[in-house]
Order: sequence, then structure tokens, then C-alpha cells
Amino acid sequence: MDGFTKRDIIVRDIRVQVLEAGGGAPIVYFHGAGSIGGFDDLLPLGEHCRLIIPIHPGFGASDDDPAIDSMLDYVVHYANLFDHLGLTEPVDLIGHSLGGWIATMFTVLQGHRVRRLALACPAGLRMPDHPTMDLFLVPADKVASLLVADPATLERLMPGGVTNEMKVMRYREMTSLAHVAWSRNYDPKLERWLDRVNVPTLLLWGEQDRVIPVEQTRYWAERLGHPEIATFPGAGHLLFAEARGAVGRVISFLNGQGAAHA
Amino acid sequence: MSILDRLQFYFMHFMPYPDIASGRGAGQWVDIPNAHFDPIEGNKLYKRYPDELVLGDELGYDGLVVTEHHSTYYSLMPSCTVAAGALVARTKRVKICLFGTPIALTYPHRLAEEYAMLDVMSGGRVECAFPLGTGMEYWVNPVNPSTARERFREAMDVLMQAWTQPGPTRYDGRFYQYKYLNPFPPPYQKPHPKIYIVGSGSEETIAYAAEKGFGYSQVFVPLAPQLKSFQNYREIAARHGLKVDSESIIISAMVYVAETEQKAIEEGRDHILFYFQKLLKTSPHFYAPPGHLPIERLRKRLEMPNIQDTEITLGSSQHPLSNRARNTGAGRRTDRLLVRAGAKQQDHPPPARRRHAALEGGQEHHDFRGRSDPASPANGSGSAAGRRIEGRQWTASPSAT
Repeated sequence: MDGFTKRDIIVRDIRVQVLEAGGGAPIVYFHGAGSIGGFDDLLPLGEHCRLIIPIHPGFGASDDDPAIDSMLDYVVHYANLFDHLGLTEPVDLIGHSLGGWIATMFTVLQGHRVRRLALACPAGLRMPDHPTMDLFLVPADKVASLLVADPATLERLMPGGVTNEMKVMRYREMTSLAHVAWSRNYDPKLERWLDRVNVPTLLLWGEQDRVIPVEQTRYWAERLGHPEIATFPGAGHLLFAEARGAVGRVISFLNGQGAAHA
Repeated sequence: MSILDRLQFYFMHFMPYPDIASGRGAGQWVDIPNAHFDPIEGNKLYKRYPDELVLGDELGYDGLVVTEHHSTYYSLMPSCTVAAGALVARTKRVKICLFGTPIALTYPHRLAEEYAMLDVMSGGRVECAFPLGTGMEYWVNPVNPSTARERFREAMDVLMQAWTQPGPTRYDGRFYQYKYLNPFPPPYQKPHPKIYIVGSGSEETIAYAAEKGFGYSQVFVPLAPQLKSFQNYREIAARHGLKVDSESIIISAMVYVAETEQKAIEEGRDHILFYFQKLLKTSPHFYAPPGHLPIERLRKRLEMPNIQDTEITLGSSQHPLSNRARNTGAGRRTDRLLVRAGAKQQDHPPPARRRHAALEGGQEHHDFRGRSDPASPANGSGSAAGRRIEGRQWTASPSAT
């Protein structure tokens, strides 16, 4: 793939950027709480379908939406965005980290719009023995190295190092995250709601994830019924950047091929 | 050109805990080990500090200023209302300025009650200055820093409604809802005690204060930008037809008095350094929790790599600010005024006698001196009129860089 096409759309007065690649059946990807590394590692998905990556309000090239202060606000935003994009038939949905939390809530409340759900190290649940790291406690210059298992990943994603503009963007994105997750990076009620997820689901996790421990995989699995599970040795929290097989595993899941062709 | 018509002197106390947890790169805030606190020593300090403030009353200061900070050796005042309560009972004349509880960190009706209670107890001697609260406060209070600024404005609206509308009233906001907003007692002063907003020089906050008719104050900012902010404040207030007088602004300066300028510097330097390098030291992380620092201010901080950790510049108040101080830009510097009185200690009039002194000069030339004013008690004593008080100006950056 050559890369993404980028366009801005206005959803309820808020300008957001939408990245797209490929054609065919739509797959929507909800990104995590950082957009700085880009999404090129997902481009292979565009060889199989129409990959749509909307940038959340308050992140990357999208404008802030000062009214957003809950996951429900994101769900309503994406219901509107789906309408705007004409996504009236159920679509495949992928969510990573914060985006996994949003994708889960979207499926809980808008399940009729989701065909299959892939969650990559999703946030949102509280597992007391293996809690999600409170990233707000980590100084900005220490965060990036926690996201990866291999420092070389960061050099690949940010070859020029960290610029002041990246620091400013990082602060803005952490502020957007704080609007929904400062007090706690989970929703104590989410596990009560998970039985509303009634679509085929895939859980993907990096075994070296230091932000949301891989132990949470089974915690999610027990509450989701019988999801497919794929864990990846040597991969950290930036799963699609570090687990080269992750994208392929998502494709086989979306094709209903299970793990056989992963 | 006279900058101020009438100058009053307030005595501000931080009540530090001097036995700091030394050698901490992360500074003295937020995650300091509180087991280090010695209650016996604390008890002594809680006797000594109010005594010092009460002495300020006896010496003739116009006002005493108490502050509020949380989880820091910088200050033993996690509640300025408790400190003010102790002072109200021990003073009869002096004004007491609460400078102040970050209103977004508490319930605004509760602050309206407590400040009003102090105002009634003191017979109308209360003034209040409202800060947003440093970023550090938001790590140790259960309030989302990304909502701090919006919450602050709304909390101020609650407080003003509580103080200016006969209760009970109803309030329905984003953060606060009251079925019966009805503080009891209401304030002694009518319509309410003098209110200041504590800012850092941002146009937005200056405009907010001026438009609402609140006074304005800055801390940790050089005198030149302070004066520039006050000029902005006057212009915005004038556009809104609001009256501005010398009581509308507070200039903050650290003052040390000694027999000579050189001696003042020698004696004062270590204390100033202790304040900036030790007490005020924190980490950039704690200084700027998400959403507390406006993006543009963060960008400015990042784009000024020449700022060193706790850089302190000494410059005379008799001369233009040094180029070095001016070139470092607004908002990053703190001026400290070190004043020496006349050559003989006994010639030094109590500060209240200089309350009518004029602060003269341009933005870069600060010069305290007595003013020929027949109404001034200073002239009555003949000790202050025409007196020229030489000064030293300290310039330093807050240590969170």
C-alpha cells in the first residue's frame, strides 16, 4: 500500500481527520491514546478491505471536542461518524488500548453496527492482581519506552527522535485521555455490560505488554464468552508495531478462518 | 509617571517546613515522604509563624496574607482558612487576605461559607485572592486537572451567586448543582469582601478578572511583565466601564531589609536560594498535570531551552532590568525586591507609615519613595516623606523547568 488518504470531516461541529486505505468491505480501527507513531503498520489490512482509521477528537490532527468527558461521549461520536460515512451495514471493528475500550462500549451499545470485533490489549477492565498501569504517573519522557518491548521499535516509529511538537501533542493527547480516564483507567461497570457483546470476538495481546498486562487476556475472555485469543511473544503494548503476525491474525479472524491460517 | 497612587504593604507568609527532605531531585511536593514530619517541630512552627504574622499587625502592615498549598514542605498551610482563623482571633485592625484556597479543589459553597464566617468574625477585615492552584495540588486532590480551568470559573460563579444574591437560590452547572444555595452566614462586608484573581499573566485570565470586576494579582512573575499585565488589566476594565484603583492590583515582591544594600544581599541571598532551589523545587511532571497548563504556555516553555534549573539573577531596582532578565521572556521569571532602608535602622519607619508612598518610574525603573501627602501618617512623623528607599531586585525562575 502506498499509504493513507487523509480527509477531514465534520461530525456534529467537530472537525476530525479520517485515514483510509484500500477498498471493499469496511474495517474501522479505533486507535489508542497516542497517535504520534502513526498507523503504517496497519496498512496491510488495506490490501484486503477498506481500512478506515478515524482520529479521535482531541488526538492527532482532529480538533478538540471540549464536551467529551466520558466513554459514552465517544460512542455517540462514533455513532454519528458511522452515519456520516454511510456505514449502515455491520462493519468489522478493531480497537487498540483506549480504542479497545471505546470499541467494546460501541459494541455494547451499538452492537447491530458491528460484524466482528477485534480487541488488541484493550483498556477498560479492572483486574486487581494485574492492573493497567496508571500512565498519568509516568513522566512524559519515560512513557514511550514503556510502550514497547524492543527500543528499536521507537526508533523505527520516531526516526527523528522526540521533537517539541511531539511533546506538545503528547501533552494534548494525555489531556484528552485525562478527560475520560484521569480518575481511573477502567470502568467498574464494564464487566457487567460485557454480555451485551454478542459478535465474534478476537483478543490480541503482546506478552511483554507493560501497560496492560497480558494476564488480563483471560480476565476479558472469561467475561466475553468464547473469544478467539492470540498472544504474541516479544511484543509490547504497541502490539501492531511489534507483533508482525498480529495484522495477519486479524485478517484470518475477519475471514472467519480462526487461528489456522495465522 | 506614577504607577500607583496609594501603596499598601501586606505581609505574606508561606509557613515553610524548613527541615526539608534533602537531596530529592523531584523536589518537595506531591510525593514527599510525610513520615519525615516531626510533630514536635511542627508544633513549634505553628506557634512561631502566627506570632510573626501578628507582629506584622503590630508593626503596622496594612494586611496579612495567608496562603494554601498541599502535600509540600513549602508550606504548613494546607488550609488558609484555618490559618486565618487563628489570626482573626489575635488581631483587631489589620486586614487578612486569604490567598487562597484553590476554589476548584473544594466545594465553592463551603468556601463561600468559610470566608464569610471569617469576614463576620473579623468585622469585615477579610480579602480573598483566588488561585487556580499549582499543578502540584492536582496530584493530591481528587479533582481532574483537565477540568481545572473550567471548574474554577464555574466555582467562582457559584461563590458570587452565593454572596450577591439573597439566598436561597438554585444553581445548575456542569460541575456543581445546588438545590438550595444558601450560605450562612453571608459576608460582613457588602456586597462582599474584595476579590482578586491570582494569575500568571495570561491574557485570558487578565480579561476574566477585568471583565468580572475582580482585582488581579501575579506571583512568580518579574515586575516588568507584572506591570504589563496590570496595564492590560486597566485597558480591559476601562472597556467594560469598570473602575480600577490602586486596590485593584497586587504586586508581589520578596523584600529583605538591612542596613546597607550589600548587607541585605549577603544576608538575604541564602534565604532566597533556599526558597527557589529547595522549597519551590518540583518536577516538570508534577508541575504540569494533563490539561492544567495551556498548550501555548507549554510550547513556550519547551522553546526556551536556555532557562536553567533555578537560575537566579540579582539586579538593582535602581537600574533598568538586566538584559538577561528581559531576554528570558515573560512568565518564566520572578522578581524579588530586596529593599534596604536608610542608613540607620531606627530611621526605618514602620511599613504602614509608607502606605501612601508612590511607586514611581517606568516599567524598568522601580523606586520606592515617600510621597508628600499631608494626610499620610508618615508625614506626621516626618520620617518617610521624601525618603528614598533603595532596592535590590531578585530575578529567578521557578524551579520547575
